[in-house]
Amino acid sequence: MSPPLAFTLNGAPATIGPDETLLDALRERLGATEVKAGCAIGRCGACTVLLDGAAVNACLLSGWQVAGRAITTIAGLAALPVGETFAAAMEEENAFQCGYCAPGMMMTLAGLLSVRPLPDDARLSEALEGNLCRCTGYHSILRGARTARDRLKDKP
Amino acid sequence: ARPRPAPAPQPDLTELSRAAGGERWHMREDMPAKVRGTLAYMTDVRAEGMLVGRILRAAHPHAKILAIDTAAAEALPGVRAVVTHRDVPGMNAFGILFQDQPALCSDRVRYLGDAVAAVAAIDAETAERALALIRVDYRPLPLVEDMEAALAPGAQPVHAAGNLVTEVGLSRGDLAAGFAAAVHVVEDTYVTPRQMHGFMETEGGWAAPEGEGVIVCAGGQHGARDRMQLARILALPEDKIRVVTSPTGGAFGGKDELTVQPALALLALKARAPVRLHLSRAESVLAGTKRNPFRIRMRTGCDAEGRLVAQEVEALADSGAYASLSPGVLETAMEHAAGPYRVANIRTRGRLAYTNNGTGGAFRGFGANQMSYAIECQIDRLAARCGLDPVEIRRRNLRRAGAPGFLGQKVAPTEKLSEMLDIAAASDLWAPAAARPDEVTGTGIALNYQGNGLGTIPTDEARFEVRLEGGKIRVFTGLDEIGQGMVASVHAAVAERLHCARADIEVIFGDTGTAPDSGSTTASRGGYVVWRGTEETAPVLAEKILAQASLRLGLPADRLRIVPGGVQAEGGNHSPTLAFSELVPERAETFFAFPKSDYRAGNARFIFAYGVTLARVAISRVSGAVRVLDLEIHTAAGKVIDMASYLGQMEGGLVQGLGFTLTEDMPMTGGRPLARNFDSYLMPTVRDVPERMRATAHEPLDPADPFGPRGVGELGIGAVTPAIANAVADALGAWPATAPFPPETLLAMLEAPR
Repeated sequence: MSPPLAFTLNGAPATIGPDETLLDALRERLGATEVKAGCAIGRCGACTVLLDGAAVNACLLSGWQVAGRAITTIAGLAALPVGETFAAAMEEENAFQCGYCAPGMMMTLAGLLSVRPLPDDARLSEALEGNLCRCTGYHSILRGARTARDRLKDKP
Repeated sequence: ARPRPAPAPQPDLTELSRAAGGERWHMREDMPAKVRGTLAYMTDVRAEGMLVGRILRAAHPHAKILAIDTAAAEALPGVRAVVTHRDVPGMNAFGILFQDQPALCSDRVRYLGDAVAAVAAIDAETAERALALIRVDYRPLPLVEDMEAALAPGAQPVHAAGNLVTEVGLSRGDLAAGFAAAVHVVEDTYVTPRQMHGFMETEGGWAAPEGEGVIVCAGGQHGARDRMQLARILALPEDKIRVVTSPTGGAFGGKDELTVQPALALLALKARAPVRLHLSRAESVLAGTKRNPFRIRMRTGCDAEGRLVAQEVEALADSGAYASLSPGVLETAMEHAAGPYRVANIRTRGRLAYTNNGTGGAFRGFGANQMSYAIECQIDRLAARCGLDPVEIRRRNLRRAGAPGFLGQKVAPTEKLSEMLDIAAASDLWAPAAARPDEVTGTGIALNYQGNGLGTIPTDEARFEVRLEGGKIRVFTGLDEIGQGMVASVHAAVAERLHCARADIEVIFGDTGTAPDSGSTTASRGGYVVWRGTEETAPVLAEKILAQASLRLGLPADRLRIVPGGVQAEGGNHSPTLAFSELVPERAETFFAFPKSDYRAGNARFIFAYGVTLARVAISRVSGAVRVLDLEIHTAAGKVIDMASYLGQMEGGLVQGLGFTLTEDMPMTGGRPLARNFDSYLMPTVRDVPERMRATAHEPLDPADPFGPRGVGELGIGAVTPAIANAVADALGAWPATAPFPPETLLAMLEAPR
């Protein structure tokens, strides 16, 4: 077996096998079950995490692609500069229902809201193309994202 | 374009949105944990020594099992338990209505999702290797692939008693005379898809031995019933089994029947260790319950003024390999065979067939949405024949308020269909939509009404308890939080009745070990159970709290009132005089039967919720693709308990219905679904949903109606398919009768001379 590779998980050191998928490592071995498993083929986005700040499907990443990189899951949301404003807006708009898609949806949007210029409505929808939600019909999620975006605009 | 409805006076309307809701809009209490990812689902539970389970599925969609050899799997290092039918101590069968589905197959498999064996091992890799070592010898049997063929003489039986699961129907009036008197007759066969529930959290959870029994934690919709079914399989008394069913990542009816619980419990008991098991999406697609496909032939006649005079309905539904709740689905479909309309001469027949096509059962709408698709298109076609607008023809045929239900049963007083039409007539969606140059546009409507509760025949009861303890108002209910907002609704209902704060309340739910049996979280019954449970317990608890406070404060109880945080003496300031935490425990509980009709010849509903859905669509002349630009739903289900939850049910139901209408199906070939995962089964994405959705509630009930708010979990999906079909017909002059609408059908309609 190849030696494990080092990466950071929400700022803390962690290891992964070179051919282990990031999703399996997170859920089966590292206890990071806040990352959800929805399809394992990159179609639902439930396992979305940030890889050096960019949203990716954990089920499509192998260990060698993660080596030396920083992975942020929903458990690391609060540490992001946009985290609290974003989370509060999603709460007020009641963005989710069952909540199982939420960790992925949140990280897709957190990645997008962390870069400038802030996204317009079309860009918000485009970013969520890879995240499935079966409960809400997406409008509540978009309302929350727009509210968050508008509040972030007002910040210096 | 066809004639547009004339505007009508508007009834009271509550706009469901954060902006319009003002003080009625609350953050759902379950929202922070979901937004921040701190909610642990039962498939997220990990513990030292917890084994990983896997299930061996059938290798053939229909075969005799000749032998099962598990020796090699059991010998694999790291394997802690292998279970087969030989390990089932009790009845090796389950099913909510009749027990025709084996926990683990012994002599026969009937679909590719059938569970034949299960393994618990130290990790997933070992468990999967062990599955590959289990040897099962089969002798394939002829496949039953088509529901019509399944019922033909000489068909291969899927079950010993034959392939007709159930048949229901009725005949009233003189059908021949009705059709003879008809001026216009329309007929078509409506075909509906095998829709997948597509909950984002697939079936799964964990189980562990507990004392002489077992704890089983897996997403479900009625813990007490799951426990009863598990008790039969495990030959354990119910009090030795604890079933936890919440929280779960979506259900929509697909977690109503047992899923992984039998395998989980058998593994945990045999391994004497905790075991977790979470189906992969591919396994869930293959094995999970699906919506029953229907083929509905409907022939409908009206007179020159558009009044219905004859209706003939022949429906055939695919149960798949097992019955589960499919007979109930068929019955509910047939209960909607005339929609919310009067027709004196009617004959209906519905049949349900066993096949080897997966397995069917409960799914939001429960047959009503399939039948509404047919009847709401039929009435639209007749409107076109008569030159009437789609609202006017419905007005001419609406059920009369106070009239008996479709089966002749007594129904609750409130009937809001006429108000729904008034609201629909005034909709902005009748105006032409802005579309691309290569698109044609149209607007359609459809009515629906959805019964609440399980109906007259099944037991349908609920317990509900409230306590003051530990400074909190604690509410105990066996209902489940499946995403619909049950928890928020309890906070809303109890806070309003007690006059405490929503934050004073804590809900204990979805666990047979801690909460009473409140019945199933299905059939749009949860909203009613929450309201009724609250009505019957909160005033009693309030009285006890005030009596206790009266003694403590030396003030008469009528000078005290409950406020956020505790009890306040008259004339006090905003803070409570006595905090809840300063009071000793009090409790109040209730047990009630869901309101039922008097009709016992079949299963009939007593309380109903009403809705009208409008759709505005744009259809590409090039591809035949339908873009749904707008969806609007207006509803009447009594007072809105929690606005965000109610809105969520409407929006989510509309979009789940949009998927049913335009993209979702699971065709089967050779007993195998073409869909394997989300790459070959297309649920709506953010790109497929309407640009605009709007939901409203007309909240008043009749003054003489004591039954309170209705549940609304199924209202949203109920009429969206016919609304879109009627919008397509508004644009193209023809009605697509197969859902999901094949684009080539729409292209043919575009090319046909008008």
